[in-house]
Amino acid sequence: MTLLELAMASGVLALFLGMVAHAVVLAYRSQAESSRESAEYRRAVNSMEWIGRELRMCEYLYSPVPASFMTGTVYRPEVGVAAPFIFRRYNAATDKLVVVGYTYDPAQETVIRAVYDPGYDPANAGTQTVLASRVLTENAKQLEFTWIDPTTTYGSQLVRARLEMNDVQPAPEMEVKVKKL
Amino acid sequence: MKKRRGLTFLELLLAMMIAFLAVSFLMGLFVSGARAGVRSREISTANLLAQGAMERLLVVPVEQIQAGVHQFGVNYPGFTYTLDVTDPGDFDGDGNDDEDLKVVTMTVTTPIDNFLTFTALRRKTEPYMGACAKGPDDHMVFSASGENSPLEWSCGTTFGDCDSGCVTPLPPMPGGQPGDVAFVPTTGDVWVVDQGSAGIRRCDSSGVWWPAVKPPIASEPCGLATDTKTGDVLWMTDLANKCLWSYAGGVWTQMPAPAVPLTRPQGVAVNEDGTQVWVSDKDSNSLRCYRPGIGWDAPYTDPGLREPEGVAVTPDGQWAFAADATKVFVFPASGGGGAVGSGTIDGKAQTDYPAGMCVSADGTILYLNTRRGSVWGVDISSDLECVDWECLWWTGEGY
Repeated sequence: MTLLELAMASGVLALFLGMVAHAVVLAYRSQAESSRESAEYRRAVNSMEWIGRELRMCEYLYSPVPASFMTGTVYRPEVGVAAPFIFRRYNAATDKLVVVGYTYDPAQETVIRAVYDPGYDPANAGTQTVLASRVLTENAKQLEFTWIDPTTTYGSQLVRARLEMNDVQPAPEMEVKVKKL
Repeated sequence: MKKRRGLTFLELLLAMMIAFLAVSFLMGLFVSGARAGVRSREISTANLLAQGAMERLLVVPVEQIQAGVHQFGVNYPGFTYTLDVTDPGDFDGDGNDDEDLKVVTMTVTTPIDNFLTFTALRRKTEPYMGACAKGPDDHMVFSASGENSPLEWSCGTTFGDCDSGCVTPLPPMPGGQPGDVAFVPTTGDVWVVDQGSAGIRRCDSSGVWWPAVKPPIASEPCGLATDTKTGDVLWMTDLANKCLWSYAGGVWTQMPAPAVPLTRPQGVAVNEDGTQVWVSDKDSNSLRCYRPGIGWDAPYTDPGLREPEGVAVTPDGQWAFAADATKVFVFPASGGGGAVGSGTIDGKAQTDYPAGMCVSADGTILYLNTRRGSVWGVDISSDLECVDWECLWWTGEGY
């Protein structure tokens, strides 16, 4: 092998290795990003499923006030800005009523689910005790609930829940027929 | 000759080519993985969207489901769903086609052309929306979803007379979404809740529909009734404002709220002289009685009464009846209190939105089986036990 051949071979090898290395780095980054987005989306979908299942059993809406919520405006529960979305639902497993609430914490970018004392009374702050709470999902951007006009749904009460996540498009949402608001 | 050691230039290029192919293959796996991730996300999105769309479809009368391609909205470009409504044929395997059933198929398409298919089984004849007696011949007028006009049942009350030929439709109602009905005996008019315009509408005795009239504020009419003596005052329950309205002489009046507020006023019934207006309040599990010029009685409740919808009162105002999903309860119409009797509804009869029950002139309760498309009579025995259920008419579908 002459010096020229060696130089050419080295050049080609270097070029090839550079391309491979670049491709591997790109692929790795892309894969990591894709995995992260998929994981976030999975969390968002799981959260939506959870919210949807509870909302479907809603028997009474405590917060926001039903009369104001049932005007079609979008309600965005947010810590320090708007009260949690709180409602009562039936728990078939225990044959008891449960009061649950959902809110969004912008500082932590989390959606929080809280269980309240069953004796929750919107007019009596002393009864609004949180028994347990947990983070439903992280890296959230916004949580919103929208009342759907029953004249468009043959008198049935439907609520649309939508959860926006950072870097997740499109935001998962679902419409749920509730027992009552 | 001195033997050269190592690879030739050609060998080196060949080796690199092979390595390049191998690396390309590995890169391809990354790409496939990324595509699978996107596909997975699209399918998850499609699942959520389909759930919501199905929830909406399940509240639409099956006859009004529009087959074809639909969009999910501006937030979901590229996501579409196609609806198809078909006959299931012999679904239950009894050798006969189940003509009262329909199969609703939803096929969701995602932006990268994934397809997901969902199916739901729907009954063609559901639900009935309301009823009133039409004396003195014990006729009954009722309306059903999917029908664009109320129907008049004119069999009389001979138990066991289940001839489907005794029901005739009124002229088609403008808008085509009739709800609860009320009959004015002095004029022969039938008043009907017009769900499309959120008001009520009159069909006069010559079969002409008059323009809809509405309360002065936005409302959601549900139950409708009038007294059987004069029919001067119509009474309407309003789900949106959780209140009771009267309509007389072209004037709407909102009744004062009772001490225990109404939560979900559904059906309404009025005694013969209009001195009692009964309301089934679904979420407070009670019957309410409003006495014009006097006020509201205390709630009529019973431990077994759960989410009543049907309500009726005897012409003399002595007894009121409430029907929930499993029983009919009998209440003495005085001052509030509990039921004095109750009877189990036949397993074939079910109640549903909003209030398909009324009392005929001879005291027989006429009851709409809201899911099965039939009219039932309830014979109240002397000890106030609701013991005798008889099918008076049915659609010929279901049982």
